[in-house]
Order: sequence, then C-alpha cells, then structure tokens
Amino acid sequence: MTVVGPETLTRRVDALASAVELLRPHLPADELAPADAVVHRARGRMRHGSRYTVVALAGQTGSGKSSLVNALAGREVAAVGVTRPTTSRARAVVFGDGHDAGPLLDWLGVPERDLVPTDDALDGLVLLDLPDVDSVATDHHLEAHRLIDRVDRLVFVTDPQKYADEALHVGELQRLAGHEEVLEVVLSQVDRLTDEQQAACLKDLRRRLSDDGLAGTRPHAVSSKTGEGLPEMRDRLAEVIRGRHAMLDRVEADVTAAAGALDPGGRPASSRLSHRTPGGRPSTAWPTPSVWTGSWRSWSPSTAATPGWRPAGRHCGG
Amino acid sequence: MSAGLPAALQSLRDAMADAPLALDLPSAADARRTRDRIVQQVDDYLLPRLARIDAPLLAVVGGSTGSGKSTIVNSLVGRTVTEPGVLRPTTRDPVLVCHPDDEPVFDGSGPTPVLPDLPRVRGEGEAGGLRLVVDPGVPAGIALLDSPDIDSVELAHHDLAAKLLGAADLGLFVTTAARYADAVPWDHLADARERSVALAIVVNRVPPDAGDAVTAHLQQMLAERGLQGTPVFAVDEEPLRDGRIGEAGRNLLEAWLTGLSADAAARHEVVRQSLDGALDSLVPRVDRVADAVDDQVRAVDHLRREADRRFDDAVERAEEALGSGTLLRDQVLERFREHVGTADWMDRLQRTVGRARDRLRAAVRGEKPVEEEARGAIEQHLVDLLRHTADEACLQVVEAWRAMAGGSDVLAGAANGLERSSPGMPAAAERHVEAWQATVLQLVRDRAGGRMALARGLSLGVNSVGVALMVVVFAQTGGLTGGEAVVAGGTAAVSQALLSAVFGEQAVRDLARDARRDLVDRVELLFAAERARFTGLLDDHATAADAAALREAVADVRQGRR
Repeated sequence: MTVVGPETLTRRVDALASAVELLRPHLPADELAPADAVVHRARGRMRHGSRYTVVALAGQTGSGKSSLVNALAGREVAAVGVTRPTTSRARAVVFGDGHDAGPLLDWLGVPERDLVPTDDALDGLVLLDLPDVDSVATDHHLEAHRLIDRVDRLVFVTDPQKYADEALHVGELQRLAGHEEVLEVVLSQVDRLTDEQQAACLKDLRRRLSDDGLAGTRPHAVSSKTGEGLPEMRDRLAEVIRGRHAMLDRVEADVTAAAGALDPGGRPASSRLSHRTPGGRPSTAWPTPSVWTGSWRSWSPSTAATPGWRPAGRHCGG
Repeated sequence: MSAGLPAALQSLRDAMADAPLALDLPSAADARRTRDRIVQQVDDYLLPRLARIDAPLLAVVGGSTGSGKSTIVNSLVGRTVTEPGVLRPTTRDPVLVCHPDDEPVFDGSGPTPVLPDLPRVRGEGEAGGLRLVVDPGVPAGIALLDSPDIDSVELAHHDLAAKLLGAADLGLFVTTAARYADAVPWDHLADARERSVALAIVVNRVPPDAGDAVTAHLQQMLAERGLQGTPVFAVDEEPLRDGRIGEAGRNLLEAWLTGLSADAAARHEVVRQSLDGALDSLVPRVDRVADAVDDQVRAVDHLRREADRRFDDAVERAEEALGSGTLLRDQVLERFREHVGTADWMDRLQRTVGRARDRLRAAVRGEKPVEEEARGAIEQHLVDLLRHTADEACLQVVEAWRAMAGGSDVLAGAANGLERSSPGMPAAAERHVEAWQATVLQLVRDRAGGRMALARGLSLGVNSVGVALMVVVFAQTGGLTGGEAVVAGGTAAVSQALLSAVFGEQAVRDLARDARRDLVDRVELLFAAERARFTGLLDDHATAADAAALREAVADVRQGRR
C-alpha cells in the first residue's frame, strides 16, 4: 500500500479532531465517542514511534493462540492448557533486546511481558497473546477488545471447529470491515485435516470473510503442532516489521473509518441517521450541507490530494 | 393430572400466539422469543407428550458447529445416517433415527405427533423437513434427533435447534474440549435448565490424558450454573474409524442409552422430569410475557394520553383564538364596516330609503351583497385558523411520539402525512363553519321573533344581524392588541349596540353564548376526527385484557395439573 508519512497522518488526526469539535454541538456524545477514541489512541500510539510493531493474536478459546505464540517465539512463553478458557490476561512477547519497549507496553496496558532475544527478521516485534473473544468469561472479551483497538496489526486465529461461528463473524470480523490492510486471518490446527479438507475449509472460510466485508483477506493455514505454515507466517510478520509502517497503516485505517462514519454523505445509512430522521425527512440536528462541506474542506485541504487518502470501504488487497 | 390439562394448554397456546408485543420496548425482544418458544413447545412437545405419556423417549442431540454431533449419532446407530463433514455448519436438515417398532410414533401419522409442523421426509434428495431414518441399530424406546448447530453464522439453524430442543425428552448436548467454555452454548443450557429438561453432555475430541481435567472443570461449571448432577461423557480425540468415535467412548454412551432403553421405569422418569419441568417453567415464562404485554399496554396508554393532551390543547387554543378577535381583521372588518359602519349607524337609519336603492342596484349589477362577503371572509378565516391549529397538533403528536417509547414503531406502521391535518380536513372545516353560520342565522330567526320587524325597519336582514352576532362572538373575550384591536373593538361595540338595540342586552348575551357553544362543539368534533387518525393507530396494540387473558390461561393450566 501507499506509505503515508507520519506528518501527513498527524495532520489527518488533527483534522479528525477538529471535525469532532465542529460536530460536537450537533451530535449526541455517544455518536462522537468512537471518533474521539480514535484521535486519542492515534496520538497516544504515534508518540511511541515505529521502533516496535505490535501484533496481536486474537481469536476464540481453544483455537491455539498461545501455542502459536510459543511456536513463533521458539520456546514456552504462554501457558497452554487443556481446560478452557486458558488465557485470562494478555501477554506480550518482545522480540529483540527490548530494553526500550517499556513505555509502549505501559501505554498498551500489558504488564505480563517476556523477552525473546533475537537478531533475526522478527527483531522489533511485540507479539500479544490476547484473551479469547467468545467464552463465558466476558471480562476476557473486554480485555481482548481493548487491545484489538490499540495494536498495529491483528492476526485473527480460528480453527476447523469454530471458523463458521456467529461469535467470530458477527461479533468480531464484521466490525473490522475496512481494516483489511491491518488484518490477517489464520486457520490453525490444520494438522487435523487432510489436504483436500484443508483446501475446502480455507475456501469456505474465504467465502465467509468476503460475506463479512473482508473480501481482500485471504486466510492462511497454520499448525503449531506440525509447523505447517509457520515459516510463511514468520515471513509475513518479518515483512510487516521491515516496512516499519504497520503502526501508521493502523492509525490511517482507524482515522479513515472514523471520518467515514461521521460523514453523513459517506458510508451507507449508519443507524443513527435513520434513527434520527424517521420518515426520511432531513433532520434538523445535522448541520446544513453547505456548512458541512465547508468544514470538511477546511480541515483537510492538504490531505484531499494525498494518494493515501481514500474513503472507507474501498481498500483492497492485504 | 386432570383430563382438562390439554384443553387448558391449548387455550394458553392460543392466548400466547395472540399476545401483542409489536412495540420495540426493552422487554419486547425477549418476550417475543419466549412467546414463540412457548407456542412451539405446546404444539411440538407438550400436547403430543400428554396425548401419549408412554411414547418412546426423544433424545435431541444438539450443540456447537464442529463438535461432532453427527459423528456421535452415527456412532450410536452403528452406520452413517447423517453426513458429517469438515465444512461448517454441516447438518442442514435435522435427522430423526428410530427403531422400526417406534416408527408409527415418529412418522407424523398419529393424531397428535411430536413436532407436527415439520414434514417428514425419507429420501436422500428431499430437503426442507425432518428426515426420518428407521434403523434397528437404535434401541427401541429411544429416538435420536440430530439437530442443526446453535452457534454458526447460519442464523436459521439456531431457531430450528431451539425448537427441536424444546421438543426433547432428553437433551444430549455435544461440545468439545476446545469449545466447552464458549458463551453461546451456555445460554442454551440456561434455557434447558429453566425448563428442567433431562440433560446429558458429551465432551468430544478430548486430547489424550486431558479427560479428567476437562470433565472436572465442566462439572464445576455445570454446578456453578445450577446443573449439578448432569451426566458428562468425555470422548477421547482419536482418528475416526469409518466416521465413528473410538470404542471406549462409544461403549460408554451406548451403555447409558441401552440402559435407558431397557429400563422402562428409568425412561418414564426422564419423560416425567422433562414434562414436569416444562409445565413448571410455563408459569414464570408466561408471567414474563404478560409483564411485557403490561409494558406495551402502558406505552400505548402514554401515547394515547399524549395525543389526547395535544388535541385538547389544540381545541383550547382554537377557542382562545376565536374569542381573541384575531378573526376580526382585514376583509371581515372592512365588509362589516361598509355595511353597518363604525360611523353613526343612526345615520343609516335615516337614510333607509337610499340604502334600499343601493341594494337594489347591487342586485341588478349582480354584485354580492356585502354581508355575504363578510360571511365568506369569516368562513375563510375560521377554516384557516382551524386547519392551522390542527396542523400544529398533528406535528406536535408526531414529534412527541417519536421521542416516546414505542412511538416510532406505531408511526412506522402508519401512512405518510401524519405530520399535518388530513387532506379532507379543510373541506370538513368549511362544512362545519357553514353549518355554524346557518345555525347562527337560525338562532337569530328563532330568537328574534317579532323583533325582526324592528330590524327590518333598520334595513337589516337576518344575514346582517347574523354577521353582527358572529362579530360579537369573536370579540367576546377581548384580549385584543394594537390598532386592529381598536378597530375590531369598535366594530364589536357597534355590533353589540346594534344587536342590543334590536333584541335587548340579555337576549344578545344569550344569543352570543349559544352561537359560541355551537361553534366550540363543532371544533371539538372536527378535531376529534384528526385525533382519531392517531388514536386509531393504537387500537391494534396491547390492552390490559390481553395480559389478563395470559395470566388467566396459565392459572387454568396450573389448575389443570391438580
């Protein structure tokens, strides 16, 4: 994808912040909260720079997130249990010397940390093993979602048993539409499948991802047991780290999505619009269109011509 | 249990099916689900089970997608009767497997079959019903039903799975070592617990040596949720042979199932437990629905009162406007002054002859008599005022309703154009105003009696006296401001003097009062029609009788069990 520089992105974050302020008199606080949060997170994350790339392994209980973390780290850092759910708190594995990763991890709010000294291609990777998103332990979901919002890149781990769960698609992946560029989906435990089964499974999963609005996301097969797909996964991670712009990509995707959600002429009928104007009459709560476009232009003059600037929902490729 | 129980259940079911929950109140979604489940449960399970208490036991095999439900069923039957696969979710149509002896009970041919609305299909190719497989591999006295999953993205599966579990004498819940802590299945177990259906749980795909730990943890979770004592079967993960689970797991399950099959008393106990549980659970569930209907009744009541209030206010505002002189402007005054004049009307008295000539000339030229024009102007003003006030009230009700609980739902079901008065309103208003004017003239005729002679002496026809009376009605309560008020007040004073001269003061007061009352009655009538456009929308919604019918019906069921 096009690399957006930090300066451009900072301007766009500032622009989003001023749009929020312009809209504040016209919209209820809860409708502005998501954009407010994006501004806050973007500024917080950008302060810590791109020395480290934060990648989270998110997914369902029993899908093998912790086993994957261990396989990537090359040693036992995360506890793998037989009873469910296992991981109740997020755990960070810092690849490299890691002496300066502290402030970033404090900002992320992850006190459980492990250092994996490495000088290879994964140097600079902060791998987070997240709690599950679908067990009876709802506090796990909250912690997972808090971090899913903050990390630079997401790897969603699912497995042959659970890849079609409503909790995965409706609860998680559909919320990430427009974030294809910062998302990877892996089908773990493929050692349980024959080759034909694996191919059929991946195809079915890809179709479902496309239904979720993630047409550009191609799922990858992996097995922490046999090691299948692990080298490729390492390569993909290394590629992301080498570019040093995963952080900027994430911030950009968030800002674009937040701006799109606020733009009344942008994304298709957000529920708040139809809620506020039953019968389809224009709501008086909105600023008039001329006021709106005026402010829109006024706060993004420099970014309108930037190649990286695209409306939400038109990203493709991953 | 008395013979009246099925009839009481049927009544409860019918009352339930009609329970009005159309408004999207906070309690509605859950209540609708409960309502639909109860209706289903009575049809699918309670009535069939009560009709044949000794019928074979129906074990519904339910659970998560990918947990191996079909594999478990196939392993128990001993051959592939339902197709497992790696693509999720697999089981599309439910499959019921029973022993040949039990076939007549499950093939849907009897008088009160279980799951009556699911057509039975037998061939491989047929779809869209309950596939019936008759196989001697299943022990007699127990049928197995392979149900769709409860948690895949195929939402239609969830409803069907819940319906099937509602018909179960025994719920055989299949999960896996990776899944047993998923949130969704536990919601279903909570439902199962509420109706006390007999349960057993199979944990499939348990990794080597993890069986004890997983079983212990699962049992602890069950106990924490009030399901202690539920049998748990752990099935080890091993390569499937011919699509069957390993022998150890199979033996365990088979022993349990054939045990139930051979032991009629144990089977009866399971049937009894689930039946009693289902009947017990009706009371709190029906109560929940009845409470939600109460919420609907309250919301409808609030909406109705809001509409009433707005239109009562509108009638009041119209009344005020009628008496405030606002109608006495422009043409009305112009025409009236032209006719009786604010100048000394006694002058006119002296120029009677000349006046009569003027009028004759006007008639020849085809000009409208001035009092006609004055009446037309009054009519136009009145109609405008009424329409404007009604428009205001309609918009107020729409806006108030939109902000009120359930209001948007009611408005969504209505035709467009509620924000203003009905298209027929101006015509109706005209008719009423014309009728009122006719009434005023009639009043003048009735009251005047011999005095009309005097009026005629003044060259004032009934029409002129009537217009004068209308002016008095509109000026009655004063409240005039500005220059117009002076003119209007002056005009009214002239009218009053004119009328008093003809009829006497008391008679004028009586006439004005009667004319005014008639007008207000008409305004109320007119606005009632506009109000009915709103209150009529509420007529199909819940009433207190609906909630009472539910509570009465469930009380009858309780009575019927004695």
